[in-house]
Amino acid sequence: MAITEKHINTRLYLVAILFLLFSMTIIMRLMEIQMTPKEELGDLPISEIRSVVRVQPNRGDLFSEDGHVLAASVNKYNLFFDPVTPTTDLFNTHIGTLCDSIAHITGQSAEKLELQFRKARAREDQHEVLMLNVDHQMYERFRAFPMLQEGMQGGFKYETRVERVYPMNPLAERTIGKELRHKDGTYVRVGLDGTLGRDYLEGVEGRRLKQKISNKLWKPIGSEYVVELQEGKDVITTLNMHMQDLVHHALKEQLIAKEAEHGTAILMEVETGEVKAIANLGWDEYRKDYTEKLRNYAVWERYDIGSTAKLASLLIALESQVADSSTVFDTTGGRYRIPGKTVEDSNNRGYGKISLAKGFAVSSNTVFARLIHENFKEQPREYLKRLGRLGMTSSLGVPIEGESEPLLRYPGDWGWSRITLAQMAYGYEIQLTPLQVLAFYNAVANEGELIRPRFIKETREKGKLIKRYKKHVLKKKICGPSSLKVAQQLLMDVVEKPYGTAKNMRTEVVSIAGKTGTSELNYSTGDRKDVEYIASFAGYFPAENPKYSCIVVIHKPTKEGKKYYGADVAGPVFKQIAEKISTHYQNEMLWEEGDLSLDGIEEDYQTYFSLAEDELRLIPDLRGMSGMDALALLENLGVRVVIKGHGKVKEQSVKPGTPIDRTPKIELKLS
Amino acid sequence: MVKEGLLDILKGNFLVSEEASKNWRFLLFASVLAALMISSSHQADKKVHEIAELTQQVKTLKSTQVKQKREIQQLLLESRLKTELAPFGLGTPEQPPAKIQIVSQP
Repeated sequence: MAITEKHINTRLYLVAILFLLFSMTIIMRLMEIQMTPKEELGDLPISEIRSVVRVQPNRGDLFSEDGHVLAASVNKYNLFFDPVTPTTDLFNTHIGTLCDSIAHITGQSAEKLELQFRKARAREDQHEVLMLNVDHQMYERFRAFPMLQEGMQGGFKYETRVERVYPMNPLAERTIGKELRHKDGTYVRVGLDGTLGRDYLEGVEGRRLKQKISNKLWKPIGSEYVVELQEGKDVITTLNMHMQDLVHHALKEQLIAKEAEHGTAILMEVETGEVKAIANLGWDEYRKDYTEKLRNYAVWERYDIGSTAKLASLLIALESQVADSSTVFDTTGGRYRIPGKTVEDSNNRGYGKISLAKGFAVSSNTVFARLIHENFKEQPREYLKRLGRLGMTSSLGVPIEGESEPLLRYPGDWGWSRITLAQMAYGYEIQLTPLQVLAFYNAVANEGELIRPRFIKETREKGKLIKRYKKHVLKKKICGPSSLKVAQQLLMDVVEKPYGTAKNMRTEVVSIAGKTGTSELNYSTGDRKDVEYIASFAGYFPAENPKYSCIVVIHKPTKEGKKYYGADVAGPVFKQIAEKISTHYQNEMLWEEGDLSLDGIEEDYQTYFSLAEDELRLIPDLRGMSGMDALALLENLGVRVVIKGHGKVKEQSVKPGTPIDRTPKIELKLS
Repeated sequence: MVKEGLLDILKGNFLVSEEASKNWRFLLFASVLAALMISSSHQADKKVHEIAELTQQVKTLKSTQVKQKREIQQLLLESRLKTELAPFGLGTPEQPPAKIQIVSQP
């Protein structure tokens, strides 16, 4: 066919018009994208090549005050082997050594593995499980195995996912907590990792327009996010793992010794309200041990606070000036009758006529029931109002979900009776959580300032400080300074006085102030055999200059030997915590240069020095030498030393003059 | 008019006419620009790969760090030290230690 110019022109026009149309469409589309508001783009359907992609923030980590990781997100791997992809040559050369390597780790039989993989290859099964839920180190080991080191060609396949790990478990496990996400998108938030998730750790999911450039990779388009990504923040908690360790084990040992059902112990810094340690141990029937898996008793569990309530009664009496510490009460043979109830003292003969101060130290129920009942029975609301002023009628608002409100009855409420007031005076019909009781005792230690117990110290992002949290004062003054002074003195008497209920807690290491509490459970059944006990001790140390406040509450200790009182069960735990914390965190002692000659230190040092200077061949006479010096001296000579006792060397198992090379071991008794 | 203009473009007159040298300069500029755009887009792709690799590296390093830290943390605990050191006759002190700081006198 002859081609005329006209024909060519027509075709050219056609092509040109097509091009024009095409470029017009592109320009139109470009303009459309430019003009559309960002929000609408956010709702664009997910397309294959270009779409608004969700960018997940990294969840922040949780740290303790002393730098330990409490919760962190790490990668976990599921490892698979695809026996089909490797070439026949590769497969046959390496399958034996590969199976040996795997068997070495998993403990399976190498022969069986090889058979399994060969069969899978024959039936073209590309998904053989190597190991599931392993950490990165294990992933690296597998990746270095023969054949697998070829990557996908060698048949190595894996899935990765992010998992939350808790390296300090079981310490403070319940309080550190976790976040559980249900399939329907709702959360169960346990402890700090759960509750702080929403506000700090989670971050905000970003949305960004992206273009797909390879199988898994998306390239951002433009420099801005549609929705700004906010990385999760790290949270430094107030918990101190050294203290937590002490508190945890002190409590656990006592729970085991007392065969108790569960218990809690909390340690708080008086001035700042920082919770340093919090243990919640309960008997776990499944694991046959006391674990942190059950409940956050410290925050959640309300209990009749027993005699620890007498501090509140005392302060109310002092503040309303109905009595002072020297007011004398008759314990009337350990019984005080009001219509409908007889209040009894734990000492069933009573204490005779005693002052309010002594009544507090011996923890007399009759004294306190009488004190409050007689003075407030006409105006019970006044008593409750004053309890409110002490901060005991409302919850604290701690950042852990599930804090219980205090449970108290008001006149006119269901269950309010003529005996309620008297009962409240010594800690029944008044239920608080251990943390709420502790906050109250802390206020007394802290010159009347009631602080919310704190769990968060700082938030950080990539190591950079975002915010440092300050203490939150709930009440500036819960009572006047003179009442406070009396209360502080009486709390000391409980431990210091020979008649105090907690005299067994006296220690040389640190002065303790506090109050014992014992309350009964199941007392309403009428059968004394059903009665169980809650033993508690709340207080602070050192008594003169309080640094830490602490509460120990133990539920259902054994009734054997009738040693179920606060001082017998909770007291020893408190004492051990106070002693250990004081021993460890005591202020440094400063010595001036001239003071060093004290107590023959110089002389001791000279003896040691002259011995250390000589090249010893024979075991010297070590008697009278400081145990630590002897240890240093002998171990430097290569002798194994076993030390028994403390102080100076009293006896040595090897006679002085024995050649050192014939003495592999020496036992020193110190005194 | 429009038809003529279009024809001119299609015939490529703007490339061969007398004033074409000006157009050529512009075309050269436009093509350099295009080349630049393409290479920068490739650079961006490369960066995305690099970022993905580095992110993975950060994650693996973090996993390693957490694992090591866990071991150290557990070893540092007093309760652990106590059990480990009990056979050597070492225990926790019952009296507070005194730290001696020598204050030199002038």
